[in-house]
Amino acid sequence: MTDTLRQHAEQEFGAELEALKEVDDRARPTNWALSPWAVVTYLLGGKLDSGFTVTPKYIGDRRLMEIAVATLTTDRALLLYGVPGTAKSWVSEHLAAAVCGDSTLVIQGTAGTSEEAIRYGWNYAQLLAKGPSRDALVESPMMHAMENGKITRIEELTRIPSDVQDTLITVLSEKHLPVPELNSEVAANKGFNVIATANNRDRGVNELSSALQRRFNTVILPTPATLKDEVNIVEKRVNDLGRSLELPVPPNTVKEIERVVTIFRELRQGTTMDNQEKLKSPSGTLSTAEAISVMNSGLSLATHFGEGELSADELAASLLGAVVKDPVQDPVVWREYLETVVKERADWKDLYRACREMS
Amino acid sequence: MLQDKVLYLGIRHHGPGSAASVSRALETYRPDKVLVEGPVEAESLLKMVGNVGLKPPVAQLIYAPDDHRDSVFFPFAEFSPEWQAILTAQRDGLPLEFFDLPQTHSIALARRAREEMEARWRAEAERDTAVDDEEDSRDEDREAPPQEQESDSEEELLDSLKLDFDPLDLLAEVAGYDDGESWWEQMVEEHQQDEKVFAAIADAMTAVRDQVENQRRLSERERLREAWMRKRVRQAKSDGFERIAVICGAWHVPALLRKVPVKDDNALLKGLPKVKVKATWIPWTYSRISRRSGYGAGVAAPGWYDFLWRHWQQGAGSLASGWLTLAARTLRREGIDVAPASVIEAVRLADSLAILRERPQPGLRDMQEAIRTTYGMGEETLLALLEATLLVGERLGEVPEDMPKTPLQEDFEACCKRLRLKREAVEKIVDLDLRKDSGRERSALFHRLDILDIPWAKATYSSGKGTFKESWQLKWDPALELKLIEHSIWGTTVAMAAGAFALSQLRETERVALLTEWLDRLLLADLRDAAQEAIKVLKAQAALASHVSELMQALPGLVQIIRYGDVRNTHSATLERLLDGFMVRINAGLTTQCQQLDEEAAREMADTMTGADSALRLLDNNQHIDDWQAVLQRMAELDTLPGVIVGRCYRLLENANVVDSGAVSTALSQALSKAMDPQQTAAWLEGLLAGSGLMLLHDDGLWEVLDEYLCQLHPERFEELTPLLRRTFATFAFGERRGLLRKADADGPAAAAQEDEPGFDHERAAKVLPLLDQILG
Repeated sequence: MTDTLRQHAEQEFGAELEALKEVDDRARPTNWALSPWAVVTYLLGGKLDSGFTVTPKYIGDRRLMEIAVATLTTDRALLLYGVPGTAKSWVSEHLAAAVCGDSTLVIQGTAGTSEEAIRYGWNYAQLLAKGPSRDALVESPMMHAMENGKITRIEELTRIPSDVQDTLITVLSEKHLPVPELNSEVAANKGFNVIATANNRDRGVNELSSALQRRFNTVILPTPATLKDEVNIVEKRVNDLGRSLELPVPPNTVKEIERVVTIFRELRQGTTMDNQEKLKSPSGTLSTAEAISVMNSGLSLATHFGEGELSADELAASLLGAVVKDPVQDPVVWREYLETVVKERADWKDLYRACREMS
Repeated sequence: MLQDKVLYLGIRHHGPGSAASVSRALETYRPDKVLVEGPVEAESLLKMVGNVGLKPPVAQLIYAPDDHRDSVFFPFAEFSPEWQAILTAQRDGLPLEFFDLPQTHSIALARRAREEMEARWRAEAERDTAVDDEEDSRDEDREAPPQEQESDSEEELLDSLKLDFDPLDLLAEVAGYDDGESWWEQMVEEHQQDEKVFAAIADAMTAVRDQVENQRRLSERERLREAWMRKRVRQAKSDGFERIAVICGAWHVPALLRKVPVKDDNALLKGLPKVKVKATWIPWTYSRISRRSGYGAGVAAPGWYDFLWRHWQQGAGSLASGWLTLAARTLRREGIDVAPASVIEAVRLADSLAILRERPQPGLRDMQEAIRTTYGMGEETLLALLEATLLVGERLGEVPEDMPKTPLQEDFEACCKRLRLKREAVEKIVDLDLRKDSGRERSALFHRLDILDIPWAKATYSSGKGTFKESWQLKWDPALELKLIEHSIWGTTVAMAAGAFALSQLRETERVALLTEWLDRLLLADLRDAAQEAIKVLKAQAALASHVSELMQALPGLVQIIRYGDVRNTHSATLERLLDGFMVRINAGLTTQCQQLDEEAAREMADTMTGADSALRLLDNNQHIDDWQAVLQRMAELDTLPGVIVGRCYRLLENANVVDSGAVSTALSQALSKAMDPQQTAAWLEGLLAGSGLMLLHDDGLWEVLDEYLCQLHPERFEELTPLLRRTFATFAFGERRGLLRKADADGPAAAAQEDEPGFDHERAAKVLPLLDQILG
């Protein structure tokens, strides 16, 4: 085990990818490491004919993953869209790892992302010394992926300024990246494609132009369909992260996960699980990812400052932080929820008390 | 499945794959006799098949002429396997027989069950002393279709016409599919296969039926039907046919293959009841073949099946590109831009999905997902838009004109032909000019149908001015044909049926207002005889009416009829005499009836008075108006009447300029004086103003009275009165209250707003005026 805090997907799940490669006898698109079937199996998990068990990376609708993988075999790029914390980046990383064995060709979209980050930059020392030449060119991940027939990932596409976004149009439609300074171009090899992620809850984003939109197939990743699914996701991620952060996971964690996820789902949907009561929803998104982080900080508190047992007191602090995002409206929503729902549940007394003390 | 000279072809009703496979199987098997699931009574309709006028989707309608509640439909689309079998048999000159249990028995059985059930309700109702409950339950039960009542309450019996589960689900589960529908679709409907598929279907279905029949019994109807089918197969064999093809629902095949002793079947089929039935073709629609319409053997997407079938007939091009192009074109018609490049990408995506899912070609779900991903940016909304137009489809079938029809239908069609009206499933607006004969006749026809509760045409808002114009929105639904047949008991022509039906309805009512409404409808429908009859009934009821409010409620309707009667050449003299009678009785009885009314009833009475007042003003008969206003004036001076009525009297009188605003002002300040009971005061104000913010807004006289009064109030009195006023003002619409606020502002201190702002330089401002003048022209 290395000391790296977080390994890339292709390293962490290298054994699974190898095992899949061994049994995979289906047709592979040129330059793909696995067949589309094997990629879907890698994402959703399953037992292989060789007896090897692949862990699920995405818990949810199989058909969505099939659409995503099928898109990568076509001419269009893939846009994973959805509210924050619906595993967009996670899916994108694992897709890239499974398709081309390399999930590291990432362009992080920010308001400051420039054209150079998508096309190429210059090594100015070289440029001054030798003039424009291929040696003076600094490749972007995009260029690298094109030359090697791999997948580039663009995170948070809609945060990139519109004029920079449009640089992608040439790449995606022509599959060539012109380098006018050298009077040449870089042609994409087969296997090249782009996976972009974007979330639809962000403010201050730059909507895609329709020209660019037409170059993407959009797959909307939904929030988990059922309580069971969501508890599974949180549990799995909490265990994984617990391992890498060296946090022991106490046995009562599953029960606490269920409570946290229930609270998140109820507030998100605006009704109680039994559909009997209407609730106000807070301003935050209350994504699955946030539920995971609530659990993690709870575990961390329990390990380092508590008695090793995860109790309501540890969770209350981070729950409050996750729910109350707007200092004016959200405390009201939270207090109402505490008094009308949490208080009424017989086995939630400890949580109610802990939350009351916090707020 | 070939067994003992008989080839069993188990199909899914309305499955194009089944249809193609049936055609192919018949082609290779070359039968000398074809047995098709269906009632023998429909055989007389077969000669119509092949007639160019008969275009599917159509349905066989089998009904009992003596009671139209007993009727059954058997829909056929072009892609229905039965339809293809009929066409093949006709082309090759094969003897074809419908071998299901005859409807003469089925309908008789259903009727018997219904009658038994009704007898049971009656018995229960008699036992039940609570009258209310009885009414409720009987109403509910009457609406339930007769088949529902057959089932045994202790046990859910198996019956293919109303299975509560999909037998295919059990098979699909084994094959690893989510549901039976998509499994069958993939295995059978989306491919054309040879007859081997039928052996596989029979085997699979045998396994399913063995399992479910172990747990539950078959219903009586199901046992009878299958026994009858076996009997007909035996008969065909003994008639000497050597190569018999049997086409029936896959569900029945195992039962037909089963070895059942002849005498058992015969014993079961002995002594079946009989009724007389008739059969005819009626046009049908795809939306009524879809499962959402509640049709038991319905399919999810008739539009898709239609497309599949046509695609195979033409036998060219890829399925995905055809369907996805069609979807793109449909969306463009809806105003959604789908680029041709997107269509290409969608086809590629669908193909890739099919490869990934290891299928020979993309299925409907793959393509729907491609549409969502490429056309719809991942959103579901586009698919919902395509649902009605593309997936279900709007195709309307046609039947030739020379169909066996009920006399009423024939008359209706004659009317449509004469008036040049076409029955179409698409909505269409028709404008009528009532000054012309054709316009009047069409309008009358629509009104007659409306009386018969056949909502083909709906009256809509007409944009033109004048009462001689009418707008109707036309939309034909083939189910209306059934209603026409249902109504045959009322008469042999549309006019007769509508008249008789209306009279039967209005004789049951005692409310005068409702009677005038019926009278109006009869006159609009140009049913003179029935209208005469209705006037008699109305007169009789009016004489019996114990409350004048009933007559007053009927007044607006009656005035409407008299006032606009001349457009339709109605002789209104009779009605005017009727109205005279009404007025005499109203004027005589109103004061007395207003005496002892509680708050709620008084409020209602005040509104009734307003309605009657405006009706009289519309009538414009001075004699009536004078008499009426005299009554109102007398009432306005009576202290014993409820406040709301007195207030209303003043309002009506003031509106008609019978009293001046000074009198109203005096009355108002009296009503608002301290000696009065606050309840009475509030009611008085309510009577004067309720719901009429606009009146206060536009009628400066009334406004001044109130304004003047309120302005001179002492502050404490004002505070006391505020809640009372508020109660009335709260009934005004929001916009009216805003308007009143503005009016109050403008009248009073509003003048202050026009005062000069300090430091405003008029000379400088004036300098820009010429320029502004130039800009604004």
